[in-house]
Amino acid sequence: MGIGENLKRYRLINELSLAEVGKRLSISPTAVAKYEKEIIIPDSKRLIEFSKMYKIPVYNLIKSYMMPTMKLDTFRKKSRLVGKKLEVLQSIIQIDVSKYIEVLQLSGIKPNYKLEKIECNSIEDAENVAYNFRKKYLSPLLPIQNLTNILENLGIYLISIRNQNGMFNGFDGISEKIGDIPFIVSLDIEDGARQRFTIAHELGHLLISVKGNQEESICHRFAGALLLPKEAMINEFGSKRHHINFTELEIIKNEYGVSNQAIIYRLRDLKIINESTYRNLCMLINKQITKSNQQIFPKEITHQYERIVLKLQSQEIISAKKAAEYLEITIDEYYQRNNNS
Amino acid sequence: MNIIKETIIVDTNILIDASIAGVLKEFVKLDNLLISDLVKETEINSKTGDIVEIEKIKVISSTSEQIYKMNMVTTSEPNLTAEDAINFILAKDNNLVLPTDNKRLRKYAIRNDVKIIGPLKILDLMLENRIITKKKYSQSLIKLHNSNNRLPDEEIIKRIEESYLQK
Repeated sequence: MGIGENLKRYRLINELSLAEVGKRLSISPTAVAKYEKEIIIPDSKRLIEFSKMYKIPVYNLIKSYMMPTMKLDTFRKKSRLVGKKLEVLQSIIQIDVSKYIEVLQLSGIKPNYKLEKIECNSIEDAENVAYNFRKKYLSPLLPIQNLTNILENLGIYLISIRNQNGMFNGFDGISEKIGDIPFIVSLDIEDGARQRFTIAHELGHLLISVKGNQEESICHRFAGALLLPKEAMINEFGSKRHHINFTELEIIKNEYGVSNQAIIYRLRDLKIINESTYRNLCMLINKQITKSNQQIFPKEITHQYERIVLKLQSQEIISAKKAAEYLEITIDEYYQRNNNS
Repeated sequence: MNIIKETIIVDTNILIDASIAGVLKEFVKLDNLLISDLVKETEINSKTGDIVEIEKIKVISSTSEQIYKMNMVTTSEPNLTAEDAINFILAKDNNLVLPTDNKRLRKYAIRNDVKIIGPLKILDLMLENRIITKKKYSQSLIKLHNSNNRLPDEEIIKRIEESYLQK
């Protein structure tokens, strides 16, 4: 990825056309296109103009990374995330993954992910995979307090992508193994319940191999079964219910860190509620959303990447400047944050 | 007034160091300092040091060809930062001296025939050339030592001891 691709990515993030950029820089749209195709390389003055317009540090335009080859084939995307937006998102994911790999290589951390893929042919198989995963690594029934920490301890690396002015609305997450290193990339959203479900769903993609086209629904079931285990749900709600109070749902949501929608979906999957109760509950939840009195479950934050970078710097494997660059902050911000110079 | 024959391309760290040491005003008076417009635009702010003083440093721009080379360095040398790459290319193309305390940049520069100078050496030369007094020199070293600075403590202490012995 060179300067041209950097220029194009930031133009698209700013949702500007070649003509708009050309007008602001008093050059032709063709000239802007030539910069993006690297037919012309900008000098420092022009580069500063670009960086000011795109509101980014000029280094972001100069810096290149060895981009990993990614299949990006498990993109959980809705139809509205297509074309240029998808292209930008993919390049941002590739840059973040390549930075993470670079940091891991410098730190000498060897991949320790040992989970084998399990073949699933039905929704019920997904339920078993989740059950066995919990049995092996977690408490079989208790709510998962911090999914991010658990996965990081299993050698999975998590990346959170900033939603540039809502540009990536429609993207939830993606998972892929690059060499021996598994990554889960999700959108940085405030709603922790939704974020956790996405991470659990993407874990499903890493753990499960599916023949045929049922992969999405199998991974969805896996995520539900992992976050809301069958036995626990029966203990909480009973084996059959015709009505559930909204407050009861809110209590379970806060206890298990899963959205109300995902809870009732799960209850329907487990046949604790029937289709009609499910529909009534959907209406009830929607009504409460419009009243906007729903509490948001706090999002999980990963500190692993930052921790590795800080360790690399304290071991003098990288300079403070390099650490600041990896963390996308200026050098004085880095010194201030770490209370030294 | 100059402390070395060649021109120095300053980076953010050297300005922060000079500011902490309380010698920024004297440092920027040197005739042969340059700062890249890219570095100035990205890194320099009031937290780096006194902006009015930093403004006195002459600015150097980079050509398209140099920008291309900087980009190549950031890819081939992942240990170096974009700022390292900028200053390295400017130093190489214009026969400038690169001030750095970063081991990796130091090695890379030497391998590519770019002259380097350590921040403490600059302070030594400022004293030798009477740009700062002995008293100011000692005070600067103590300030650097007390600031939990990334510069090597042993080197700073050695200089502090020597400066007291010479009194």
